Amino acid sequence: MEVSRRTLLSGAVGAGALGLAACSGGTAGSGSSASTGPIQFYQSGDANQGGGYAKMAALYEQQTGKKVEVVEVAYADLPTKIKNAAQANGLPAVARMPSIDPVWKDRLVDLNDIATANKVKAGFVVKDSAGKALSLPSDITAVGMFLNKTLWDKAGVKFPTTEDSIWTWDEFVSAGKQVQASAGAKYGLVLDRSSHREKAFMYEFGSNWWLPDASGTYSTNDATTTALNYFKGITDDKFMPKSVWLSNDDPNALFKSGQVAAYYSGSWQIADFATNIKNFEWASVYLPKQPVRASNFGEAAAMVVFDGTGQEQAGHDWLNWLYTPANYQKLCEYSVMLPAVDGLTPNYSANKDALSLYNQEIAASPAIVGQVKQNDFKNTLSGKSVSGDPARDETVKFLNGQQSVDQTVANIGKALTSAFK
Amino acid sequence: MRSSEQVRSVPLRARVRNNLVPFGFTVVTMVLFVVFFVWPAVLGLYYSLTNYRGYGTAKFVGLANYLQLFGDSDFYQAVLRTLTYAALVVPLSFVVPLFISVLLVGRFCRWSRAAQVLFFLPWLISPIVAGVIWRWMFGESFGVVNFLLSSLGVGHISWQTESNLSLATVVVAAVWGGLAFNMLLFMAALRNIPRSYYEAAEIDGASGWRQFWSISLPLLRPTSFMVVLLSSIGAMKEFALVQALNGGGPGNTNYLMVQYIYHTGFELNKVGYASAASFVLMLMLLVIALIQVRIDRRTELG
Repeated sequence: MEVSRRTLLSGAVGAGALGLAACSGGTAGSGSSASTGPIQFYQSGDANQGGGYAKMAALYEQQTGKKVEVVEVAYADLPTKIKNAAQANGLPAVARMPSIDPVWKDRLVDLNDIATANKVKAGFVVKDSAGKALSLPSDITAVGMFLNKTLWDKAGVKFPTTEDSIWTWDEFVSAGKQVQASAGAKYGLVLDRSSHREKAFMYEFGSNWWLPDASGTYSTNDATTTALNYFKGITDDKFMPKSVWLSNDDPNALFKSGQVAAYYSGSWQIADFATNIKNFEWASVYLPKQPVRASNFGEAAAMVVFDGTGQEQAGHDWLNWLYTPANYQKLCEYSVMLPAVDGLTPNYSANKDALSLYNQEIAASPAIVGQVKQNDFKNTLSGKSVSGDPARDETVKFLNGQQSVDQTVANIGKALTSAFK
Repeated sequence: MRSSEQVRSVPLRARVRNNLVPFGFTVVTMVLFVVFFVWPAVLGLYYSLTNYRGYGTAKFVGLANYLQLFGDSDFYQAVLRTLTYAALVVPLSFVVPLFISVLLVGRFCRWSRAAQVLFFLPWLISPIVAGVIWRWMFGESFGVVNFLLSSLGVGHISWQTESNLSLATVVVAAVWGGLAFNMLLFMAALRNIPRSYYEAAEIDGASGWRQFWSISLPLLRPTSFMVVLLSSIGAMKEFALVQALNGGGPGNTNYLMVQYIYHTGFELNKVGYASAASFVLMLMLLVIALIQVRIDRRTELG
């Protein structure tokens, strides 16, 4: 009995500690490093996006006889996979990455020639200090708002349809509450749980987000406090559900249920809504201003060609072909993307108005949006990155009543300073 | 136990056979243990003394991670929450399965087989799936529980955004999920208790309650010990269920220790720091197990 107890104990404790003791990363991804044969293009996306690239790859093979394999990787795994592949010398030829990683930023092929020849939007081509173009913007995404038009029509509440009738946040919230009351909507608004959307929200209140001073200390202006307080004010479980920000409820699913009047998200939802929302009519609408008109926009992802794979030229050729305006326009139409190439007006098969509204929002956004973006690029290139999303996490603590607004502002500044200084 | 002289008098071949052959049988286990436990543990200990971020080079920082950990209020909050969680889950994971087992093994039970299958089903579901099911049931906006409650006029309850209620949901889900396993242990042990004890007690006029208290419970002690030990360790390591159910929300108020380790290690990429936290957790588990063995031995002697 005694011995068996002890064996049991060591077994149980052993099992308990197993897998906890070491906390190392996952397994290395396998990329092709053969210099001949098809090249691999790693990306992650939904059926629309991946389908668009697959169609383009088929067209490329038809026209040039060269084969591109589109490899789908789960979004959350992509950065780790490529990071590990870089360390294991197994990088694919081309990838569409959420951002440039310090681990492999020195192993990229210069893409300047593609960018200039095809008029790729210059503000989103990431260049290092020597002027080498490390990545091209895959496409542009922008924060925007959607309405459940069926609910608004049922309640008889009007919403702005032209640029000169854009509403303020106060006007939007009171209109949303009317919709809740008369159309029986459960909530007025859901807002994605991400600092990317939070940024746009704050810009609209005149915030400068957090930017470094000469010494590298990150700070913000008073409008940030106003915006945070306003945000907490509407996250009252009546107008906006607390569960989205506090416990990760899915805002997309809430909106699709048809019981939420408005959804603060972004252009990437259009393709999804167009195919998957059948039970009500939805519409894209201008973002509210208080008093600043702003969206947060940028490159959806960074297209990179890796160096040292033996397929640099083949990878470069594929991107060069893809960014040729005629081909790129097709991609935008297939995947319902906003173009990252100047002078293109894709002929979308549906939702033309929604997509052109985003172009207006981008044009009307203040300079601060670009400044924050440029600062992000600068940090990435100097090898500094912030892991996780401290701005979001601190905001959640504030919404949950764990800390004051001043503490929240100070903590976000501190987190960004320690990550980037 | 043989005396030492007897051992010495055993011929060499027999001794080799008696020692090497059993050793040979353990080799596979030993190799697995070294490769999948000792080696990761050593690596983890090494990482915990460095500032390793999951890639690149690891710089040795001595005990800095541990010192920082002991000054980290988020870590204490996670420890406290984990202990609270264990304090709720362990007694319930003991009492509920025991109660149901006694009912199912009892003489007057009808449909025992069907009931066993029903109670056993949760064990077949992965904790992630269980988490998602409970998340949907207790969803604040469109969950079935809130729907029923508001139909009954009770109104909307903040299952996801009030930290104690969120923890309660996890506790209920965990007890439900672990029910089958603990029940199997109890039922097997209950069936092994000779019927004659109960018959004798009945002749002496002992009530059912008295029989349970004086016969079943004492004879279940080895099983009870195992259930409590495994439940405590399981509760301290809980991860998948919480992650799927509410992600440790609202905010980070219900981060359990493994959640905290996951967050710092894989979301914030502080692998060294997370490894230090893992080691503290392993020490805590060891201490808990040792205390329980000690208590068990003392009651056995007394």
